[in-house]
Amino acid sequence: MKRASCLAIGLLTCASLAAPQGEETEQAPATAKGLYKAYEAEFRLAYDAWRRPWLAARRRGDTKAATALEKQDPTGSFLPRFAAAAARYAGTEDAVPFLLWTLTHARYGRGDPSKPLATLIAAHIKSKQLERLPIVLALRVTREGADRTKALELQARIAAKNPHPEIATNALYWRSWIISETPGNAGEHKRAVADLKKALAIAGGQMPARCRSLLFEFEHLQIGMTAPEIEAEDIDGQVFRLTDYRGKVVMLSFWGDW
Amino acid sequence: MYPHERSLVKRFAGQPFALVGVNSDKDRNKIRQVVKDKSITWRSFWNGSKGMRGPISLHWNIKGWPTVYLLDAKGVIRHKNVATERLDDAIERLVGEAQRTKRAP
Repeated sequence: MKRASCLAIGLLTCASLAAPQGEETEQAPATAKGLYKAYEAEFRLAYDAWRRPWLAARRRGDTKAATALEKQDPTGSFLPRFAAAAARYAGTEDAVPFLLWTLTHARYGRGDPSKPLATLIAAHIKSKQLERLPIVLALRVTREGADRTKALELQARIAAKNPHPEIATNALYWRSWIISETPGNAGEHKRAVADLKKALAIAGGQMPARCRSLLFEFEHLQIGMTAPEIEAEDIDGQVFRLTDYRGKVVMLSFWGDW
Repeated sequence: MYPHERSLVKRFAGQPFALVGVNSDKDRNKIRQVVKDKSITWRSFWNGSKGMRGPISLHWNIKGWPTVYLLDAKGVIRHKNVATERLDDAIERLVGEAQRTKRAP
């Protein structure tokens, strides 16, 4: 579990910091975009400087040092700054990146994710900048134990209200993903299948492949279904089939020598 | 993981059980060496040179490694993402089921 949360930090951080780096400026940037870039660049420097020794401590198995370092994670000190900027641009599109940042980084008991989330939903549900909101909501459920029912409801609302197809399909995909990753009922499964088909009918960009894979999982890889055939080479180049093992209980293990 | 897998293979030897892998190493030569060095006796499909993004794991929508599916003797999916500590019990139940069905007229 520890490792999973460490990966989660990496994933969310990389993705949320994917925007190009801003130039260093002495005085406060005049535009919201400039301010966001400057804050993010500053955060990235602080975070990387903190993360290196933390990772090193974890790698050498020094739990005590790692735990001590965890308390010095700079994220907490940036949260109020991003929140203040969000307040400064309240009600405008300029507030959205700051709100998303605070929502994404308020975790592990740090900061309050409910406020930026409520604002995003209440004031910005039609924004074209919400592309990452669906994945953030989904990961909050599986990694932080956020309210599943509420997350499903919010994803449905984004899918219905946001006019940008890539955001609506993201919401449909990640809504279905939550259902596949957490115990759900038959009605939810049916809805997920319908949503994924709807997403495939709209989609563009990266989503179709992911939607198709998840749809396949819902339709063919559920408990109680006959496993799909695998016919492929073994590591020595000899072709064999999963059905060669009929009559035996099969433990199918997806593994690698990492 | 290898020691646990080895112990499962040993424990269920001679019973209707098989461990089948889907290996995600990009380099087939490297993995052949690992199989030799670590006395891995079970057979693995190779997921191809794209490693974890290979065709089998894409088809099976594998999101995390390792992932384990348990299929009964009829090829029906009975467990997904079984926790390591529950694996032995789950296999034992399914193997027992397979043996009872076999004995039944």
